[in-house]
Amino acid sequence: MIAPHVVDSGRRWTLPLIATLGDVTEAVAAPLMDRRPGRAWWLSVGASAAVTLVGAVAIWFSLTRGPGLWGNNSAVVWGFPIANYVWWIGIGNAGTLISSLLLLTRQKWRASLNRMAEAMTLFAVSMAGIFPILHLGRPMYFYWLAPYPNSMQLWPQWRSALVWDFWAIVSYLLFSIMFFYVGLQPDLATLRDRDGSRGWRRMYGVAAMGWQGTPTQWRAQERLHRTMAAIAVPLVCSVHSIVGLDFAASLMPGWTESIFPPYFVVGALFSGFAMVVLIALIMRRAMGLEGLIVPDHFDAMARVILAASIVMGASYSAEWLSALWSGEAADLRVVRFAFTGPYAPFYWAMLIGNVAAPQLFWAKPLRTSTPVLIGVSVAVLVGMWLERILIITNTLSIGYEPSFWRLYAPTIVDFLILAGTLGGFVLLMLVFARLLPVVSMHETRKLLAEERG
Amino acid sequence: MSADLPDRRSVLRLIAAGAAASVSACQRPDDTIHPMVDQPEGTFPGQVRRYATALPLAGYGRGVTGLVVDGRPIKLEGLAAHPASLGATEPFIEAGILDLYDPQRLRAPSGPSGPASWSSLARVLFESVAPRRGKGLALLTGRVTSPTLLARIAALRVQLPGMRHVRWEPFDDDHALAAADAAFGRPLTPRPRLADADVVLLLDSDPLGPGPDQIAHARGWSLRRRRAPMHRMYAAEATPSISGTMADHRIAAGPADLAALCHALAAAMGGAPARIAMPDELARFAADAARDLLAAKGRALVMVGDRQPPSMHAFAAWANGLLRAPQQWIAPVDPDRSSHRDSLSGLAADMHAGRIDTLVVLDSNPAYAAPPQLAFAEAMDRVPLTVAATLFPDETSARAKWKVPIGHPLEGWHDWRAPDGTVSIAQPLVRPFCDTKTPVEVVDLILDAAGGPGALARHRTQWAALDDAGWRHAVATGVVPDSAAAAEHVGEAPLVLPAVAPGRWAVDVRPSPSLFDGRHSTNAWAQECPDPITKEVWGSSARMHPADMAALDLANGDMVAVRHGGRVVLPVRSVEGQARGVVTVATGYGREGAGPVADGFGANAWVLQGTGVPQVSKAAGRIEVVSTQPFFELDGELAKLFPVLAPSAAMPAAKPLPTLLPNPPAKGAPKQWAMAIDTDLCIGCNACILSCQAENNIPAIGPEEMAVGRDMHWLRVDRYEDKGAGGFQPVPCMQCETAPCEPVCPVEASVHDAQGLNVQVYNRCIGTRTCQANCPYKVRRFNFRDYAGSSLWGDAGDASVSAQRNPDVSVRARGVMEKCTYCVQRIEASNREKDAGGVAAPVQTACAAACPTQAIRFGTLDDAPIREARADPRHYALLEELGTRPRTTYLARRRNPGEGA
Repeated sequence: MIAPHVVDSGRRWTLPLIATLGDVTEAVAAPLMDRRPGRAWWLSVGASAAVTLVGAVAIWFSLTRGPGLWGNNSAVVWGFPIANYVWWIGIGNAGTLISSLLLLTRQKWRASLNRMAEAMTLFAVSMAGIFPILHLGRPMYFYWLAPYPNSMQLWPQWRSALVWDFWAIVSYLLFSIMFFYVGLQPDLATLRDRDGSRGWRRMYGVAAMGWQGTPTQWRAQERLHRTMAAIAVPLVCSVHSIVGLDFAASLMPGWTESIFPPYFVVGALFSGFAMVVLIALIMRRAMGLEGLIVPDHFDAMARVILAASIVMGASYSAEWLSALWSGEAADLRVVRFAFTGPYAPFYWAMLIGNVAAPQLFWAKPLRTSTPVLIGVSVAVLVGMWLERILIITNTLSIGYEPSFWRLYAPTIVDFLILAGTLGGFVLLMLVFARLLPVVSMHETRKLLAEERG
Repeated sequence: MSADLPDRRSVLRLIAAGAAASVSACQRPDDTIHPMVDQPEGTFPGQVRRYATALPLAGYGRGVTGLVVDGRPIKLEGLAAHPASLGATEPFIEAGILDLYDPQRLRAPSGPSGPASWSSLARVLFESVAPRRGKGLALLTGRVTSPTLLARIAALRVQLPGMRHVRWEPFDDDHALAAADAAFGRPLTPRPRLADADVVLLLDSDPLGPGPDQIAHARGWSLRRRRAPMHRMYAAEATPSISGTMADHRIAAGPADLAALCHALAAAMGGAPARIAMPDELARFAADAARDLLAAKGRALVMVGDRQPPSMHAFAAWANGLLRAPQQWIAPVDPDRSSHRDSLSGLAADMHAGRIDTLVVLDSNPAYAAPPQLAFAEAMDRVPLTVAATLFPDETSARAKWKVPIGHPLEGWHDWRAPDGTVSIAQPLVRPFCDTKTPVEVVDLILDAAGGPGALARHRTQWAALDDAGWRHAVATGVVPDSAAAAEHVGEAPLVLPAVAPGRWAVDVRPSPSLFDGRHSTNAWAQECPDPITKEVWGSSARMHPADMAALDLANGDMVAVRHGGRVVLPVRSVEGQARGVVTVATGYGREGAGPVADGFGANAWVLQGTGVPQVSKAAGRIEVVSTQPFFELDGELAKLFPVLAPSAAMPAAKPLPTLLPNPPAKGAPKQWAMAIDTDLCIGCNACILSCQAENNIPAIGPEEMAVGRDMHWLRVDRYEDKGAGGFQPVPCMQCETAPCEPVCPVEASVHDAQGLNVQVYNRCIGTRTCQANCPYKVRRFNFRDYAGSSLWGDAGDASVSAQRNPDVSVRARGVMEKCTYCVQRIEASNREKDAGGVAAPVQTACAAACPTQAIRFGTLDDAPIREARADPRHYALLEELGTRPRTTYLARRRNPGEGA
């Protein structure tokens, strides 16, 4: 349980145990620079590295032996890789949204969460980026999606959503790295200037690129950060809208729906927030950040998750309704198949995870209860993953031609690759926690200063 | 430069000459083979040359045209001049080309102590048979229609009077001949003319199904079906067959029902024997059929399946006489008058008794297909010298002390008679790949260690009546003129009625439409070719009525044990339209020792040829036989995928879809290719699938990949059933004018060309599979593995198989999407020909060329066949409402059930 916090003198987003601005720096920087990593960290690194390695081997086999190792067939030509890609990119959306949208809307509480959310974005997008290439039949030619000068004067096909997708991912990844870095720079300088081992300080010094904290620099940094945030919001929306268009810009029943882009963006936000909740809970515990990440943070995020789950429920209903009122036989067939076909248990599990479970958050005590937060977040993440795979399999298993209705069954390689990216993501988060400040110190100091009045 | 040194040009000339000499030293046939008489001069490398030749099935020859590129036969097409081909093919002909290159083939003779030579076999044979003047020698062959082979066997018998020639074919015509013998005093073969029949009644007969006559019957049937007023076909059969599916009025009927049906028909047609009680539905069927048959006297025909009892054949002879049916009787093309079954059981008995000391089995597999009570395999063990001459290792050669390879029919000289008696002299298209002999040479070897003068000389001698020009003409055209059997005049056949003998179970052993009696089991294409009815590949199940399955507590895929003589355990499959109490099992499966492609799939149906009461029971275990089509029933909205019309009904006019573009759109270049498929004529025989496979280098992918659902056939034939009206719908690429696959491809691998083709650029494809995801027809195929480079032939590798590949078609790599191209290589060959100033023959796709019923028509939008099809009231486009504007369109299936429906 998270201890109920005492509201004192309007301080809502920090606890009284953080008294001074220096306390903020210490709370964040001390575990990083003064303490050696504990047993739990090493165990986690070992476990996640092992899982990553297994996934890497599975990927290696997939690259050398081809997509025949997966469960895809001639009807369900897409499978786990595309579902994994959509899922990871969805998670990757939340970090930038939390940072930029909350920054623009002056939600000060973002200060203690945005760093880990942005890191999560980077790592999730990196994991997502594996799949569009891996899933190709001839991955060595992925660069043909780019308009590079070539002797055949061939360009990509700009009508294809896959090309937009390629650009969306690339620009989103590059932007996320820059956005992350701009926010990180003052903190790197703080670490450079703090007592500690010479090697670490030198490294941070190089990375801080001469940040001195002069008013000019602060003004420039803040202006840049805010401008980038303004660019980030449409970018975040575009990246997942385009993922939605991969499906929606088609002819297949269950895919040709104009609701897909917004519904994908909300779904992304939804799964991303669930992941941020999990990461924040773990970091807070592991790094001793109880004073900076307070129950009200979880309360706020739980509200977002609740709201998103309602939108998700509405989106699902809109899907069913559009099949019903259009009366299109093919669309109705897909909806009936979703509820009664062989994948129906997964569909119900998805509805429970994405729509039913978050309704617990109507009760305020549950919004700050660790077990409930963990349970609901995991349910949402699993539900969202099921949604991604079911979007593919439901439509492709029951298309227009009954003679070609085929079911999809993943193979062990499919699961190992998914596990490998989960391992890789955890591993990257673990390394991040030992390498960089997991909470934005300069922004939290500002928040504390404002809260103290 | 010194004068005696060769200059640069001479050196180059010498190198070129040396290279040319080494090239020409490769296997060029020494024998003279004759190109088509109209073969133009000035041919060049890479050019497709076409030669007439023939392939046998069950001993009958069917003319084929061999397409040969640079000395390699790569494809077989029909031979228009041949009455059993009529320019079309069927699956066995199409798959035949793969057998030529199959690495599983027996390559060299081997004796009891390992590798041996033909001459050592000749010595052993001579020592064994010469002293006793052939006594104790038995020569076992399949049906022999070859005049040359018959002459050689006769010549051998002169020298070895004690020799015995046993002719045995697993699917025999004993019953039909016995019935004719009883009716007319001599064995005769009926030759029905479906083209002239207004009303046809099929009594468990499958004239459109697999067999030597499939193409001829299918063509005749389709000719009649095209003509108005529409004909009507009744079918009473135990299990849905191709013919039953195409029938206008079909009823499921087991053996007892069929016999009762004969009684009812005889009564209704004035034969007036006692009435027999039967179900209402059957009685109505009989009344309707009898009424229609009688009303169409002179144009009505009754056909009986070969496996039905002689009494039913006799009934048909009576009925056809009464109806003055469009059918003639000919003397059997196979001159051997003995019964297939009796001669084989006589031989087996003698072998068991030790009266045979030398057995030569020539291209026959009794150890696999003989009835179980003969215990033929054990009988072989009692014969001191057994020789099996075979194309592929099989059960018989495994038991034989000597295994010797006979060549593929395309490797030597042969002659065969077609089912109507027409002779084709088949020329080789390539020199033998291995140390093989033709059957004629094997027979010659029995007495002559030198093996005689060779097959060519033997055939030329046999046909000495033809002068050189006549011989050339006969070989080049593929038929010996006027060699068909003459019609025999017959008297009135007496009315004979089959006995009605009800039983709980009946076992129905049928030829597999892909493997026939087992002689195509080694063929990977055939194994992967979906059964027309169940769409099963790489295996088969026992077909049963759902109610029978429920009674035995069986679900689809559960194992069922069937005992009738021998015992087989097979997975069961419920089939709509199966007769109650009948278990149908296809032959050709359950092979042993026939190579990795044949072994271990299904169970041997031939062991069910026993006598007595069949027993059917549930067995332990489950096997799901892979089927490429999970659903056959079309209900509700889905019915529009396969419209079935009344005889003169028209499709509802399609509303033009709203569009902002000019409508109709500009047509572009003059040649706009299109295809029209008449589902009313498609009999689902699969010739098109295999023709496409051979033409377009489509690899067979094996049972494991098929089980995952990754079939690579560019063309699939869907079968649909809807309240008594079934049919087949071949689905190649629709070549949509507004193709959904094109805008979604990120790298422009899927593009439209100026001739209206939706082309796939393999080199450009990176394998996102988005095109197939977005294809409503699901006609694109993805190379999930390196199918082209991997071998299904076990350790044998596939190097020889790759020699079959069409050099004009890219071999696709792993990770590349492929699809039907409308045989763009043929279109381009024609364009090149025209560009070069030549006169290009009309382009036919491989599937259209193969189709026995000419249901597939191909041409430009301006060509008459396509124009007419598109103006036909039955014309429709598949999933038209999606706005894809397909170039492949359909003519709707019709059904003419009459008042009885």
